[in-house]
Formats: sequence, structure tokens, C-alpha cells
Amino acid sequence: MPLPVEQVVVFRKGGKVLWSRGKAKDVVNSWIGSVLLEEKGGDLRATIESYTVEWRLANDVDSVLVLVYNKSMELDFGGELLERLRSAVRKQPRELDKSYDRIASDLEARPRRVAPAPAPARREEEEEGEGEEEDEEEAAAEVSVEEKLRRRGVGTKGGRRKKKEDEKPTKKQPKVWRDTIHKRTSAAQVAELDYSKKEEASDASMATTYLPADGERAAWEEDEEEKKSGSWLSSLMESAAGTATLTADRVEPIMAQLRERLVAKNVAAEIATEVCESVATTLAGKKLGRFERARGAVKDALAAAVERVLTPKRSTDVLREVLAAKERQKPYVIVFVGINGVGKSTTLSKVAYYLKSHGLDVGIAACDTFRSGAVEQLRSHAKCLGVDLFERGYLKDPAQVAKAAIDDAAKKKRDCVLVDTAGRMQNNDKLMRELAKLVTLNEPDLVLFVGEALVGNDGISQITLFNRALANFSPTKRQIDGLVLTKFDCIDDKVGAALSVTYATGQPIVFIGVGQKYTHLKKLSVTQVLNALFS
Amino acid sequence: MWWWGSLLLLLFVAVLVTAVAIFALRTPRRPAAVVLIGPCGAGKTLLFYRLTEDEHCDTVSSMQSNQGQVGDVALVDFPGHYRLRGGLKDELDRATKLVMLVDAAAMAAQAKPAAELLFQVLTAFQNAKRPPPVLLICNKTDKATAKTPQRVKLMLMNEIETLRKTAHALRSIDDDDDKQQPAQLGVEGRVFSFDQHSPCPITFLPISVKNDDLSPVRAFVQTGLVSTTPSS
Ligand SMILES: Nc1nc2c(ncn2[C@@H]2O[C@H](COP(=O)(O)OP(=O)(O)O)[C@@H](O)[C@H]2O)c(=O)[nH]1
Ligand SMILES: Nc1nc2c(ncn2[C@@H]2O[C@H](COP(=O)(O)OP(=O)(O)O)[C@@H](O)[C@H]2O)c(=O)[nH]1
Ligand SMILES: [Mg+2]
Ligand SMILES: [Mg+2]
Repeated sequence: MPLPVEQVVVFRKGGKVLWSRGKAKDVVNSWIGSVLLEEKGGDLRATIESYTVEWRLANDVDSVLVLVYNKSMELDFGGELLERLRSAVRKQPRELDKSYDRIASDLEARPRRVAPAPAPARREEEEEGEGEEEDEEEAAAEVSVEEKLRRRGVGTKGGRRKKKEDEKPTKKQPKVWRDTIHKRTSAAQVAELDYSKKEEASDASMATTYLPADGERAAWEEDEEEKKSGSWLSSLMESAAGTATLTADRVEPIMAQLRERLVAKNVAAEIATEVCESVATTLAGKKLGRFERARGAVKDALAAAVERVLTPKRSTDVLREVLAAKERQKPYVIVFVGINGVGKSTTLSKVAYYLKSHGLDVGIAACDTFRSGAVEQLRSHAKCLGVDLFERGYLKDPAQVAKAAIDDAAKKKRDCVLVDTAGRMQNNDKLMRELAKLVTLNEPDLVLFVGEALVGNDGISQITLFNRALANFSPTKRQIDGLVLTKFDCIDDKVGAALSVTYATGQPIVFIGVGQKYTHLKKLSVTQVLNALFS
Repeated sequence: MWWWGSLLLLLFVAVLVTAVAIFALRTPRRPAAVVLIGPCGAGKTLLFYRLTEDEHCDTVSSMQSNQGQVGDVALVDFPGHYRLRGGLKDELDRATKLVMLVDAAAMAAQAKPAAELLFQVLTAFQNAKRPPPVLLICNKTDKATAKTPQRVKLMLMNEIETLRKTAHALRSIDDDDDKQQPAQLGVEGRVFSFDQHSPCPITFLPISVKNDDLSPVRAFVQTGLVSTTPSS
């Protein structure tokens, strides 16, 4: 019986497919966009639409290995398959067809659902019987590096994010794919600890475990790197010779420092950890260029990754969208959501001012029917702006008020309707349900989440719970599709929230607020955020 | 101790030379190159491998650029994904010629991102002394739905006309942005036209990168001229 996989593909990071079996290119492409380019790569496994995607990177040969299979399958061998294939990519890149067939037939022969892992020692004996002994050993050694990075959480001090729920092995369906990794790690660990077994372990494995890789320097030297010019010079010589390779051990302390710096700039701790982990996986095994030093290379890679996360994945030109809607003769609807006091009504007024100043006919809908004074506040803004306000007083269903406002605007041939909503806490189910209803009923063109640039760790739970509530309570599963960060004028260089919110949602920051005046509305400058974070 | 002085001087010179050498070597200027740009899925990577290695390879979305040679000309395939747009400026700085691709069979989806990219490029070269020529490939003519170059040109022109009004309407707080106004593309109050207002000369070329002979593209990459000029 063939393996139940949709596609296995090996490709260069530049996009060239080196080898492939099966067909699921769209899944692979959307995985590249939503996981790799958003630095969510630390987990080695993701769900894309109705598929599970697992992957491994081979940074030394600039390649990526991806396995796609149906989500409903509980495959237990994904990691093993990819790791064995990875050794083949390194050794016999031209014979991948043969290698894959061999790996696949091994795996096919194995019973699909295996009981929990046998003892590590026994496991080793089993492996000796197999044909691909060497590859396996090598793969095992490598996993241990990757796992080491993951387990240590790239230097987090107790801030390690908890394992995702879906990764917990349940009793009924032992997810052996994870066990396999652990088994292998523990095999390597046992070898590391048990000196009496030294001779039994294969030479290759021993060498990878103990000997420094080409260009790798001992940890005691690493610590002194900053102070001692001697080691600085030697690392320079080494890099001049072009022999240096980044190993996980070398990346780790540097990354830990960079992570601290991100946290000091107000990036949420959890996000800083995830980004750093993901970048670390793209660095392990990579060769350094001439005159490139480990610290510089790690920092550059992280900065490039942060730049990718901050750079919008699509156009954020709202004015252009509204102009396009005007041509279609349908009012463009923007809903502003978020918790209390973050600046929703103020931002809405700024956007009204911005659009009006470009000759567009804007209407405002007062759908904060909850907080007393909200309608009056908006009325005075509307008056000040010279813009019409649609209101139905308090205690009305905001979804219906918004609908009436949009219908009214369509009748009056307005170009745009801005919908103000009541602030709500992300854990207030009743109010979140109400918001989901507003969004579902009115199908706005843009749902903007407004948050303060001052938020730290709590900002992430706000935004993810808003998204989850919208997904849970609305049948259309419509979510937030843009972000606003207000009070950017109050944070100096602590710009970390920009990274936290874009990473947590994958959505772009459409506007930032830099003061209380209507003109204090801007686009986010990615360059400026990068400078604040890294210089 | 007469030799102290000269030893110090020698040491000083040695340090200076090393410092300069390290500085020069650590920040290498990117060498000049012909740069391939365009939205995701336009066919850049396929074109890149056909030109550099004469190979028809299968592709997925590019995560980083590809570098190669066509004869003695360096060629760079710059990925189209929005999130990688931050690297564009460096590539434009070294571009001697630009080859831009669009999927002419998917203009409904490609017109906007392609126009944004082209707008960004043309704005960047607005005040340049020697703006690079652009070959605009309307790719995938093998598909029945492929639009004609005239049609592609019109669609891009319309989108650029909108972008002229909107793209700089909200100024970002870029440090260098605040001091100098971004260059304005085209002439205030006049409708944008490639032929009259583009700082870079643009030639439109309909072709199937998958099936066709690439000699017009090769000629452009090497000489900057296109033998057949079906530009309208
Ligand atoms: N400094 C500064 N204050 C802001 C900004 N945006 C909003 N505010 C202030 O934040 C407070 C709350 O704003 P409001 O719009 O009523 O918040 P809402 O409850 O989310 O609607 C007001 O005093 C605003 O003036 C900003 O970008 N910078
Ligand atoms: N039918 C057709 N498909 C093409 C042509 N050129 C490229 N493609 C396909 O378009 C897809 C995207 O190509 P790729 O080079 O990866 O685009 P890139 O994102 O611009 O690098 C691939 O599946 C190519 O095989 C063409 O001329 N005709
Ligand atoms: Mg309010
Ligand atoms: Mg590509």
C-alpha cells in the first residue's frame, strides 16, 4: 500500500523544485507564504486548509523538504521520512527517486500505528538491522540538534511557550511522529551519557556528537568573544578562510541576547521566543560567507525576518480601496474594533478626515450603543469634521444599527461608512458574540483592530482572542483583516508591539496614530521600526 | 629610543590598513546586474533558469533571490512576494536593466500588485541620472485567456493613475521621507502615460516563457535592445 501522502517535495529557497512526488503545489505555495515567510517555522508542522504540512530545512544546501498529507490522517512517520530524505539530499541529490522509494517501502512495511516507544537501547538494536543504518544515525544526530534548540527555547528563561494542545499525544491515538523524535533524541542522549556504550555507537554518530563541526569553536571561547581581541582575530581568520559554519550551539547564545533585546523593546516575550526559534532553524548548518561573523550573520537573519513579518502581505492603501469601491458604486465599510479606551473613536475620526480631505463622501455609524456618552462623543467629532453621523441612540442592537447606516449610505450614494463599535474585553463572550453578529450581518470591507502601541504581553491575548471569538461566533469565520496601533507618540523607541501584533495575526498595520489631532494618522515605517529594534 | 616612533607609526599604518580592508570587504557593493521583477507566479524563476541554465524546471514560490549569469551579464531573480519587498531598493540600486514579468492570463489578479511594483520602481527612478530600460514581459501567451500587451498596458496605466493619487497620500514616518518629498511620478494634473511620463523606457513583449524561443529576452538582457519591438 502506498504511503497516504499528497506530496513530498524538495526545493531550493529560491523556488526551484529539485525533486517531487505527488501534487499539492498550491498547498506548498500557501505554506511558504503563511508559515515560512511569517517566521512561524519553529514548529516543523502546520495545518494549511485541509492539509497537514511537515517540513525540514537543509540550510547547508539551501533547500527545504516538505511533506503534505490530508489533515484527517494521523501520520506518525513524517519527521522520520523527511529526515532520511534529507540525508539523501545531502549525499545523493541525483538519486532522490531511488532513495525515496527505499524510504517509502521501509515505512510502508512498518505497522501504521505503533505502541508507545520501546526503550532507547532496544531501538538502537533494531536500527542496526536496517539497510540505511548510516543515514539513520546521521538523521538522529541532526534531530538532536534541532530538538536541542527547541527544548532550550533559544535561551528563554522560563518564558518557554507551552506545547500546543494539538501536540499532546492522546492515549487513543498515539502520535508517534512526535515520539519518534523523542526516541531519537534520547538515543543520542544515552550515547552521550553512557560511556560504556561508546564502542557500540557508530563512529559517525560519535563524531557528530562530540567533535566540533568545521569552524565551530568551543563554548569557553565563545563567551570571551566580545572582550578578547585574540579570539576576535581568530574568528576573523576563520571567516576569511571561508570555513566557518553556523551550528545550533553557536547560534543559541547570540540569539538569546537578541531575544532579550527584542523583549526590552517591548516585543511580547512569547512572540520574541517564537520568532527567534524560527530564525534559528533557518541558520543551523548554514555556511558563513567570507568575513562574515556569527554574531553579524545571526543578527542580519533576525532583522531580515522581522522585516518580512512587518512588511504587509498585501497593499494597505485604504484610499485606493475606497476609490475602487466608489467606481463600483457601493459604499466601502470599515468597522473599528478593540477594547476600551484604545482610540477607536479617535482613529475613526482621523480616517474620516483623511478620506474626506481626498474628496470622498464619508458617513459615520454610531454603533457603540453601550457606553454612555459614546454617541455624544462621536456627534461632536462628526460636527467638527463636517461629516454626517448615523445614530439610533443607546441599547439598540449594534448589528442592526450598522445595517441601517449602510443602507442609508447606499441610498445617499456615499463612498464610505465608518462603523464605531463599543470597546469590549476579549473574554466577554456576550459582547464578542454581538460583535461577531455585526461583522457577519454587514460583511464590511475591512475589520480594523485598534490597539495601543503601549501594549506588552497582554496585547497578544487581546488580539488572538478577538480573532478566535470572531471565528467561533460567526458562521462566515470572518476575522480581523487589518491593525491600527495608536499612541505611537507615547512609546519612544519601544516599538515592539508592532512586531507582536503583526506576528500574532499575520495581518498588516494599516494605520498608526501619533497624536490626538485628526492629522496625526500615518503609515507604519518598517525601516523606522527596524532601526529602533536593532540599532 | 629612536625606533619607538617608527614602530608606533608602523603599527598605526598596519591597523589603518586592516581596518580599511575589513570595512571594504565586509560591506561589499552589490555588483551590477539585470534584475527580474514581477508579482508572484508571473514566471520569473522559470525564466531565470531558462536563461541561465537552459533548463525548464518546476517551481514553487521563491523565498529568496536567485543569482546567475547569462553570458557575462549577471542576472538576479527577485522574489515577488509582498513580504520580501523590503529588499527591492537594494536590487534597484544595482540594476542596469529591468525585466518585469506579469501573468497576462491572470490580469484580474495581477494588475494591482504589478502596478504597485511598477509604480514603486518608476518612482524610485524618477530623478535618476540613468534610469534602466524596462522590458515588460506579458507572459503565458500560450494560455487562451492571455491579454494582449495593449490591454496589459492600459490596465497598468489605469492602476498607476490611481496610485499617483493614493500611494503617497498618507506619509509614513520614514526618517528620510520626512525631509524630502517623495518624487512625483508623471505631471501634476495630467493623466499618466508610459510613453510620455515614464523615466524608464518600457518595451512590452508578449511571450510564453514556457514554450517560446527566448532570443528577444536574451538580446535585451545582453544589449538592452529588443529585436522585435511590438510595443504599441
Ligand atoms: N497621544 C495619543 N492619544 C491618542 C491617540 N489615539 C487616541 N488617543 C487618546 O486616547 C483616548 C481614548 O480614545 P477614544 O477614541 O475615546 O477610545 P475608544 O474608547 O477606543 O473609542 C482619547 O483621549 C484620545 O485622545 C494617539 O494616537 N496618540
Ligand atoms: N502556461 C504557462 N505557464 C507558465 C509560463 N511561465 C511560467 N509558468 C508557470 O507559472 C508558475 C509560476 O512560475 P514561477 O517561475 O515560479 O513564477 P515566479 O513566482 O514569478 O518566480 C509555474 O508553475 C510556471 O511553470 C508560461 O509561459 N506559460
Ligand atoms: Mg469610543
Ligand atoms: Mg520565483
